Amino acid sequence: MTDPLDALRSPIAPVDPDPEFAAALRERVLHALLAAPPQEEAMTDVLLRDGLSRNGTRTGDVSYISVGLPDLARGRAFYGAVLGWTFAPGQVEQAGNQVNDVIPQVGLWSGPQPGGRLVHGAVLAYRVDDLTAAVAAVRGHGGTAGEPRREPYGLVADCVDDQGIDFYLHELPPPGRPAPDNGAVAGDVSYITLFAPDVGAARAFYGAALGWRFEHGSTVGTAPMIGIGGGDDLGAMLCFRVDDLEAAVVRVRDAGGTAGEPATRPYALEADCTDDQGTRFYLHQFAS
Amino acid sequence: MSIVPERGADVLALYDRALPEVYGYLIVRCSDRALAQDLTAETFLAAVAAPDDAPRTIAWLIGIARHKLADHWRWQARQQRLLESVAGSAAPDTDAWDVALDVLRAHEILTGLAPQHRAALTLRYLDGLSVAETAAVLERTVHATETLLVRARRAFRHDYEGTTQGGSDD
Repeated sequence: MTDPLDALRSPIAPVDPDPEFAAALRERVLHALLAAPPQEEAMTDVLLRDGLSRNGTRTGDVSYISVGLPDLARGRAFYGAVLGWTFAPGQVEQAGNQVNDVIPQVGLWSGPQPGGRLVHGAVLAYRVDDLTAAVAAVRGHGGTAGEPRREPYGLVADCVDDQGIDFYLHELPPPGRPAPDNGAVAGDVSYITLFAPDVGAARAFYGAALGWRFEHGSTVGTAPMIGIGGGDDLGAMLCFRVDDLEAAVVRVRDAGGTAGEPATRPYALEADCTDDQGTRFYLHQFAS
Repeated sequence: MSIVPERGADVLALYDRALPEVYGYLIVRCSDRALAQDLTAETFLAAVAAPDDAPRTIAWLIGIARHKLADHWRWQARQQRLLESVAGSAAPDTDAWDVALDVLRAHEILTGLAPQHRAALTLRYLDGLSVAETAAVLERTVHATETLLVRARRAFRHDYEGTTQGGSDD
């Protein structure tokens, strides 16, 4: 016998709820995700060197630098020879391309960056206190930001600014002491120039998204010090600290790179260099 | 820096696709916008807290939603203190009934039933669950669920015939 109530069978037909409800619930789910304790392991500590954080301490600090290179083995050989860098596997990247001890933490990377493309040169990651708020700020100021996700070292969001520069945002465990503005020892990152076609727009974007403040053309209150440069280039260019610029310039050339003659600047002795894969960088020898 | 998928992020990735399905499932069954929204929210928040090895599919979310709905009706039934009165008496063995239902009216009738009757009929007929599956969601024995279904069908038929045939109830 058939059952008349079988006529009640109701396969699921999608119904869009009220958009305001949908958006609010999405926020609640996101917050619940971020608040949920990681199941595999606790957030590990930030990396320290002599008590100095290698991953920043304040919103807007550079927490990590992903150096995009076509050939990572050549990169390890070149920067090992020039800057004395040594390498080890990281918590996520297992191939051994994380630079030991350098401030801020640096890793070599040949894969796609946040915008989904390969970037030849540095892509910066910035520490923020509240990743959800920072992601909203990036989106609110014309950038794009992916959903925050949890990595072994903390929370991360993939971003691209409003002029097309890739970057990451990190919400990380409590820090050690702030890193110095210009690095502390040879091999550290001493300064970063962020090239963007519209310098004013870039200052406005990073000021709004990361709270950067500028004095005399460079950031103050975050580390390492960053300046924004105009022109046709796009993205981050790194400067490294060395103890003896003359000797370092020789090492650059011996390792297959190019180096201009050391020039005296108000802040340091400086040499304009490229590595053997064509990546531009500067070397700095500071007075103290 | 590579991308490692993370358990909760899977839920968020599912969210946009699954929201109309979960809400669609709930709104048809509870006919109450505010309640459907509440249960939809409870469903997704429960999904976030689910263990790592949960499957992260729309079917899985619907399963959570189904339990939320059953929980709601169970709570409602307790509120109305109707459970004891239902558990007391024995059910008849058969309850043959052979008509073609007016489905729209039938849904209206459902909304007026006692919560535990509505829950049983919704799971058994709207969702198409077996008696055993219905029993599992309601957290009752199969035997108790069979009894509940018989009573629920009788209540449904009473109201249905009352509204469509002017009150006859033999």
